[in-house]
Amino acid sequence: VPTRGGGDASAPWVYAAALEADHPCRFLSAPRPRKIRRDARGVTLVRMLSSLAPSPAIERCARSSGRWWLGLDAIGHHTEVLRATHLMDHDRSDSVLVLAIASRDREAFASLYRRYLPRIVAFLRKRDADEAIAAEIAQEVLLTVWKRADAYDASRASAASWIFTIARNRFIDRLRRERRPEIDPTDSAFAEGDHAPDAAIDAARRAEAVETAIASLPPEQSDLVRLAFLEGKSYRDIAEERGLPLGTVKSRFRLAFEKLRNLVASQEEVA
Amino acid sequence: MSLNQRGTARPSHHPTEELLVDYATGAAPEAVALFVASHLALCSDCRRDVAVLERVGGTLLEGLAPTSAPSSGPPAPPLDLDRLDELAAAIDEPPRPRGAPTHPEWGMLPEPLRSYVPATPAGRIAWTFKMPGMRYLDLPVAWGAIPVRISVLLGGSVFPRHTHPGLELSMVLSGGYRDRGEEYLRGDVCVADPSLTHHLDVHRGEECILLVVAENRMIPRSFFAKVLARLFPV
Repeated sequence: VPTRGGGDASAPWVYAAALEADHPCRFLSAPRPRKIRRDARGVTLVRMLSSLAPSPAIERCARSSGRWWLGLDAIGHHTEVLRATHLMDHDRSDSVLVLAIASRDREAFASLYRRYLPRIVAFLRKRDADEAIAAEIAQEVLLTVWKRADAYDASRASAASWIFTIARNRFIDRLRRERRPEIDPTDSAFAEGDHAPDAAIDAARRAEAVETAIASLPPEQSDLVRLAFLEGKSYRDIAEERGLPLGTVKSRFRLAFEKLRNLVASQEEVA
Repeated sequence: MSLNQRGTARPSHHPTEELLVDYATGAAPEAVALFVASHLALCSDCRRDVAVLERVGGTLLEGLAPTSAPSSGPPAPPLDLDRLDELAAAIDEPPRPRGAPTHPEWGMLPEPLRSYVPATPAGRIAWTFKMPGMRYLDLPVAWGAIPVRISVLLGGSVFPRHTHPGLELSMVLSGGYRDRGEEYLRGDVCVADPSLTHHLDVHRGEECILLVVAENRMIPRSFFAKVLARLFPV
């Protein structure tokens, strides 16, 4: 548990995300001085500005076992906690990178760019884009990340799935030359759900569950799932390509999706 | 449609899993994606399912082995970190949704549907009037050759027996009807295919407005339906 004391006595120590081993806390480019230390496990802690009022989110972070991570908005509102979220260990760096990008951290963007550019190119190549177009669109996808990072909500989606949706939509826009209709949660006719809005823990557990579920799918199901999500094939295309009756394709997807849903649901119960 | 914990209405008839998957992967053509997105705007259950599916996409994207940079291929475009804002600004983005509706009749149309609906110069929905009291609207987007349509059924009417030559997706935008013993209200989806022959009993007292996305025109089965189909295409 982080301790208080030293410097700004009223300010709590909170966990900050260590981006990568080589530049911890790089994203916390707040223009004011702050203190940084590490806890026993080597997790970076930061001393917030004294003007930061301890909020429930900070208290929760400070009390947690170290798996709570904070994203801070360093532009203009650096005394406010932008988002507190519970992220998977292996995923935290990507989500934290996007949170850092939202605070206009160019180094964080360069890291994300290096990490995702080849993956997005590979994704677009699977959807039959030629090499040059794939590289061009992949760059546009990442520049869109730069542009819209402030709209990213780590409690609702992992960075990878957010980037997947941007790449998918850009592919539709550029290569299929169609508009991509998307919901607008700010619209007056949008129907709010009764799912808990503070679903940070659900999002992370869901992400973990999805990964486990994909890994445990039998080969004939994971084959179809990959054709659909990576190559962008419809059920009908897949039936044709694999020489399967459409009913078989539907039932394999149903089984795969049931497994995903059940694992996600059981993870949420654990939470 | 049922009531959730907060007492607000919530759809009980949903798109098929195939529609949700094709939407999440991007395989759905624009007309179908518009239909699914319009349902998602009204249905938090399906939004949750689509979020899980998009996570599948994210996980698979993350796991893609980067193509082992073939020396023949063009190198990754160099990136000038100091010009990010300029480069990002140069990317054309999809048109932003239109602003808030100017007349209450737009209220039944959730985004992204509303942005597809043409308006009259006076800011009303640009309906096509077939005959007095009957109207419909074709949107500037089609599935194959068939435009996406917003159809209006008169309150208390019976939409006669008909079948469907291809897939037909319909969703209630306002009002409601009864079909094979089930109620269909705002947000409820009916996915019809050639195996389905049915008729709709529209609720009394208010018209029922439907979003209809069809692969082909439906086939009237009764004489009355055939006459009606001439007068009033759905």
